[in-house]
Amino acid sequence: MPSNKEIVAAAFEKMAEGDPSLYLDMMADDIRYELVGDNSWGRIYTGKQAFREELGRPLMSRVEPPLKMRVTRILADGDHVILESAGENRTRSGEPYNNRYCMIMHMAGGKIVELTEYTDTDLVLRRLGDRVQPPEA
Amino acid sequence: MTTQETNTRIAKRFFECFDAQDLDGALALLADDAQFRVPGKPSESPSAGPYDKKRLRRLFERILQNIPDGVRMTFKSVIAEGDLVALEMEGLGKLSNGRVYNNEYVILFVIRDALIREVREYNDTLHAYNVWHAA
Repeated sequence: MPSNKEIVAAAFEKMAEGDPSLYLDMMADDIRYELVGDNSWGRIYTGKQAFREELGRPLMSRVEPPLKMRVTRILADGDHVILESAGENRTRSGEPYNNRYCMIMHMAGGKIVELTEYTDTDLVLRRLGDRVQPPEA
Repeated sequence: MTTQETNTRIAKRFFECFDAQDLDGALALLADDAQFRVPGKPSESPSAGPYDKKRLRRLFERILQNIPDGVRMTFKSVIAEGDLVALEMEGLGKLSNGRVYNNEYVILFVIRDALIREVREYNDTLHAYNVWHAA
Protein backbone atom coordinates (compact mmCIF):
# COMPACT_ATOMS: atom_id res chain seq x y z
CA MET A 1 0.00 0.00 0.00
CA PRO A 2 1.42 3.43 -0.90
CA SER A 3 2.47 5.71 1.96
CA ASN A 4 0.54 8.85 2.83
CA LYS A 5 3.35 10.88 1.30
CA GLU A 6 3.15 8.91 -1.96
CA ILE A 7 -0.64 9.30 -2.11
CA VAL A 8 -0.43 13.08 -1.64
CA ALA A 9 2.49 13.41 -4.07
CA ALA A 10 0.59 11.52 -6.78
CA ALA A 11 -2.49 13.72 -6.34
CA PHE A 12 -0.47 16.90 -6.59
CA GLU A 13 1.40 15.69 -9.68
CA LYS A 14 -2.04 15.86 -11.29
CA MET A 15 -2.75 19.27 -9.70
CA ALA A 16 0.38 20.60 -11.40
CA GLU A 17 -1.27 19.67 -14.69
CA GLY A 18 -4.54 21.31 -13.62
CA ASP A 19 -6.34 18.04 -12.85
CA PRO A 20 -7.90 18.06 -9.34
CA SER A 21 -9.52 14.60 -9.62
CA LEU A 22 -7.08 12.67 -7.41
CA TYR A 23 -6.95 15.51 -4.86
CA LEU A 24 -10.74 15.45 -4.57
CA ASP A 25 -10.75 11.63 -4.47
CA MET A 26 -8.39 11.57 -1.51
CA MET A 27 -10.57 13.92 0.56
CA ALA A 28 -12.77 12.10 3.08
CA ASP A 29 -16.46 12.94 2.62
CA ASP A 30 -16.50 14.48 6.09
CA ILE A 31 -13.20 16.35 5.74
CA ARG A 32 -12.60 19.31 8.03
CA TYR A 33 -10.95 21.87 5.74
CA GLU A 34 -9.70 25.03 7.42
CA LEU A 35 -8.46 27.97 5.42
CA VAL A 36 -6.57 30.13 7.91
CA GLY A 37 -7.38 33.83 7.79
CA ASP A 38 -9.50 36.54 9.33
CA ASN A 39 -11.39 37.34 6.12
CA SER A 40 -14.35 36.13 4.06
CA TRP A 41 -12.44 33.11 2.70
CA GLY A 42 -10.98 32.06 6.06
CA ARG A 43 -13.20 29.56 7.85
CA ILE A 44 -13.72 25.86 8.42
CA TYR A 45 -15.44 24.08 5.53
CA THR A 46 -17.04 20.92 6.92
CA GLY A 47 -17.40 18.11 4.41
CA LYS A 48 -16.23 17.66 0.83
CA GLN A 49 -19.52 19.01 -0.51
CA ALA A 50 -19.09 22.27 1.45
CA PHE A 51 -15.47 22.50 0.29
CA ARG A 52 -16.52 22.17 -3.36
CA GLU A 53 -19.57 24.41 -3.14
CA GLU A 54 -18.50 27.12 -0.69
CA LEU A 55 -14.77 27.33 -1.43
CA GLY A 56 -14.21 25.69 -4.83
CA ARG A 57 -17.00 27.40 -6.76
CA PRO A 58 -16.33 30.95 -5.48
CA LEU A 59 -12.59 30.42 -6.08
CA MET A 60 -13.04 29.17 -9.64
CA SER A 61 -15.43 32.03 -10.43
CA ARG A 62 -12.37 34.30 -9.95
CA VAL A 63 -9.51 32.13 -11.20
CA GLU A 64 -9.02 31.15 -14.83
CA PRO A 65 -9.30 27.34 -14.99
CA PRO A 66 -7.61 25.00 -14.64
CA LEU A 67 -6.13 25.80 -11.22
CA LYS A 68 -2.52 24.61 -11.15
CA MET A 69 -0.30 24.02 -8.11
CA ARG A 70 3.29 22.78 -8.26
CA VAL A 71 4.74 21.00 -5.22
CA THR A 72 7.87 22.62 -3.86
CA ARG A 73 8.33 20.47 -0.75
CA ILE A 74 6.60 17.59 0.98
CA LEU A 75 7.27 15.95 4.33
CA ALA A 76 5.50 13.30 6.33
CA ASP A 77 5.47 12.34 9.99
CA GLY A 78 3.12 9.55 11.09
CA ASP A 79 -0.43 10.42 10.04
CA HIS A 80 0.53 13.93 8.93
CA VAL A 81 1.73 15.23 5.59
CA ILE A 82 2.83 18.80 4.98
CA LEU A 83 2.87 20.06 1.45
CA GLU A 84 4.29 23.34 0.20
CA SER A 85 3.22 24.37 -3.25
CA ALA A 86 3.29 27.28 -5.64
CA GLY A 87 0.34 28.27 -7.81
CA GLU A 88 0.85 29.44 -11.37
CA ASN A 89 -2.47 30.94 -12.31
CA ARG A 90 -4.29 33.98 -13.63
CA THR A 91 -7.51 35.62 -12.55
CA ARG A 92 -10.42 35.61 -14.99
CA SER A 93 -9.65 39.30 -15.58
CA GLY A 94 -6.10 38.35 -16.66
CA GLU A 95 -3.98 39.35 -13.64
CA PRO A 96 -1.28 36.94 -12.42
CA TYR A 97 -2.35 34.98 -9.37
CA ASN A 98 0.77 33.16 -8.22
CA ASN A 99 0.10 32.30 -4.62
CA ARG A 100 2.03 30.00 -2.30
CA TYR A 101 0.44 27.42 -0.08
CA CYS A 102 1.34 25.30 2.91
CA MET A 103 -1.14 22.56 3.72
CA ILE A 104 -1.09 20.38 6.81
CA MET A 105 -2.98 17.17 6.14
CA HIS A 106 -4.12 14.61 8.70
CA MET A 107 -4.54 11.29 6.92
CA ALA A 108 -6.54 8.20 7.87
CA GLY A 109 -7.00 5.14 5.66
CA GLY A 110 -5.39 6.90 2.69
CA LYS A 111 -7.82 9.86 2.89
CA ILE A 112 -7.44 13.42 4.16
CA VAL A 113 -9.67 13.82 7.20
CA GLU A 114 -8.37 17.25 8.24
CA LEU A 115 -6.58 19.86 6.20
CA THR A 116 -5.31 23.25 7.36
CA GLU A 117 -4.30 25.59 4.57
CA TYR A 118 -2.03 28.60 5.05
CA THR A 119 -1.72 30.94 2.10
CA ASP A 120 -0.94 34.59 1.33
CA THR A 121 -4.34 35.96 2.34
CA ASP A 122 -3.29 39.52 1.46
CA LEU A 123 -2.77 38.38 -2.14
CA VAL A 124 -6.07 36.46 -2.09
CA LEU A 125 -8.01 39.61 -1.22
CA ARG A 126 -6.02 41.86 -3.56
CA ARG A 127 -6.45 39.59 -6.58
CA LEU A 128 -9.72 37.73 -5.92
CA GLY A 129 -11.62 40.11 -3.65
CA ASP A 130 -14.06 38.84 -1.05
CA ARG A 131 -15.50 35.37 -1.29
CA VAL A 132 -18.83 35.65 -3.10
CA GLN A 133 -21.06 32.66 -3.79
CA PRO A 134 -21.76 32.59 -7.54
CA PRO A 135 -25.38 31.91 -8.61
CA GLU A 136 -26.33 28.36 -9.51
CA ALA A 137 -25.46 27.50 -13.12
CA MET B 1 17.90 11.56 20.90
CA THR B 2 17.01 11.18 17.20
CA THR B 3 17.89 13.78 14.59
CA GLN B 4 14.21 14.76 14.39
CA GLU B 5 14.02 15.27 18.15
CA THR B 6 17.19 17.37 18.15
CA ASN B 7 15.95 19.44 15.21
CA THR B 8 12.55 19.93 16.82
CA ARG B 9 14.21 21.21 20.00
CA ILE B 10 16.26 23.69 17.97
CA ALA B 11 13.21 24.93 16.03
CA LYS B 12 11.18 25.39 19.20
CA ARG B 13 14.11 27.02 20.99
CA PHE B 14 14.28 29.65 18.23
CA PHE B 15 10.75 30.84 19.01
CA GLU B 16 11.13 30.38 22.77
CA CYS B 17 14.03 32.85 22.55
CA PHE B 18 11.97 35.23 20.40
CA ASP B 19 9.11 34.98 22.91
CA ALA B 20 11.59 35.83 25.73
CA GLN B 21 12.97 38.78 23.67
CA ASP B 22 16.34 37.03 23.58
CA LEU B 23 17.35 37.92 20.03
CA ASP B 24 21.00 36.93 20.54
CA GLY B 25 19.86 33.49 21.65
CA ALA B 26 17.49 33.09 18.69
CA LEU B 27 19.96 34.29 16.07
CA ALA B 28 22.76 32.09 17.47
CA LEU B 29 20.72 29.10 16.28
CA LEU B 30 20.94 30.29 12.66
CA ALA B 31 23.81 29.46 10.30
CA ASP B 32 25.63 32.58 9.12
CA ASP B 33 24.20 32.16 5.63
CA ALA B 34 20.69 31.21 6.76
CA GLN B 35 17.71 32.66 4.94
CA PHE B 36 14.35 33.48 6.52
CA ARG B 37 11.41 34.10 4.20
CA VAL B 38 8.54 36.28 5.43
CA PRO B 39 5.37 35.47 3.46
CA GLY B 40 3.76 37.78 0.96
CA LYS B 41 4.71 39.60 -2.20
CA PRO B 42 7.53 42.13 -1.60
CA SER B 43 5.91 44.32 -4.28
CA GLU B 44 2.72 44.56 -2.23
CA SER B 45 3.71 44.14 1.41
CA PRO B 46 6.69 46.04 2.89
CA SER B 47 7.83 43.25 5.24
CA ALA B 48 7.57 40.35 2.80
CA GLY B 49 10.48 38.56 1.21
CA PRO B 50 13.81 36.94 2.05
CA TYR B 51 15.89 38.06 5.04
CA ASP B 52 19.51 37.29 5.85
CA LYS B 53 20.59 37.11 9.49
CA LYS B 54 21.52 40.78 9.80
CA ARG B 55 18.27 42.01 8.28
CA LEU B 56 16.27 39.52 10.36
CA ARG B 57 17.70 41.03 13.55
CA ARG B 58 16.50 44.47 12.44
CA LEU B 59 13.03 43.04 11.67
CA PHE B 60 12.80 41.37 15.09
CA GLU B 61 14.06 44.52 16.82
CA ARG B 62 11.40 46.57 15.03
CA ILE B 63 8.68 44.10 16.07
CA LEU B 64 9.78 44.19 19.72
CA GLN B 65 10.10 47.99 19.72
CA ASN B 66 6.44 48.13 18.71
CA ILE B 67 5.31 45.32 21.04
CA PRO B 68 7.11 46.22 24.29
CA ASP B 69 5.70 43.25 26.24
CA GLY B 70 6.81 40.84 23.49
CA VAL B 71 4.94 38.33 21.38
CA ARG B 72 3.67 35.22 23.17
CA MET B 73 4.28 32.24 20.87
CA THR B 74 2.16 29.14 21.54
CA PHE B 75 3.05 25.84 19.87
CA LYS B 76 0.09 23.96 18.41
CA SER B 77 1.71 21.07 16.51
CA VAL B 78 5.09 19.75 15.42
CA ILE B 79 5.77 17.65 12.33
CA ALA B 80 9.32 16.57 11.50
CA GLU B 81 11.04 14.42 8.89
CA GLY B 82 14.79 14.22 8.28
CA ASP B 83 16.24 17.73 8.31
CA LEU B 84 12.79 19.37 8.08
CA VAL B 85 10.69 20.60 11.00
CA ALA B 86 7.30 22.29 10.73
CA LEU B 87 5.91 24.18 13.72
CA GLU B 88 2.30 25.29 13.83
CA MET B 89 1.96 28.24 16.20
CA GLU B 90 -0.15 31.13 17.35
CA GLY B 91 1.36 34.51 18.22
CA LEU B 92 -0.21 37.19 20.41
CA GLY B 93 1.06 40.66 21.21
CA LYS B 94 -0.24 44.18 21.79
CA LEU B 95 1.32 47.05 19.88
CA SER B 96 2.09 50.41 21.51
CA ASN B 97 -0.61 51.94 19.28
CA GLY B 98 -3.22 49.62 20.82
CA ARG B 99 -3.58 47.24 17.89
CA VAL B 100 -3.53 43.52 18.71
CA TYR B 101 -1.37 41.22 16.62
CA ASN B 102 -2.81 37.72 16.88
CA ASN B 103 -1.57 35.63 13.98
CA GLU B 104 -1.50 31.94 13.13
CA TYR B 105 1.60 30.39 11.60
CA VAL B 106 3.13 27.34 10.12
CA ILE B 107 6.90 27.69 9.96
CA LEU B 108 9.15 25.28 8.11
CA PHE B 109 12.77 24.90 9.15
CA VAL B 110 15.65 23.21 7.37
CA ILE B 111 18.16 22.21 10.08
CA ARG B 112 21.51 20.56 9.44
CA ASP B 113 24.41 19.95 11.83
CA ALA B 114 22.43 21.60 14.65
CA LEU B 115 22.07 24.92 12.79
CA ILE B 116 19.00 26.42 11.13
CA ARG B 117 19.75 26.81 7.40
CA GLU B 118 16.41 28.00 6.07
CA VAL B 119 13.10 29.19 7.48
CA ARG B 120 9.91 29.63 5.49
CA GLU B 121 7.03 31.26 7.30
CA TYR B 122 3.35 31.14 6.35
CA ASN B 123 0.76 33.23 8.18
CA ASP B 124 -2.41 35.26 7.72
CA THR B 125 -0.64 37.96 5.70
CA LEU B 126 -3.74 40.13 5.46
CA HIS B 127 -3.97 40.29 9.26
CA ALA B 128 -0.25 41.15 9.42
CA TYR B 129 -0.67 43.90 6.81
CA ASN B 130 -3.72 45.35 8.55
CA VAL B 131 -2.00 45.45 11.95
CA TRP B 132 1.45 46.62 10.86
CA HIS B 133 1.00 48.68 7.70
CA ALA B 134 -2.61 49.79 7.16
CA ALA B 135 -3.41 53.44 7.88
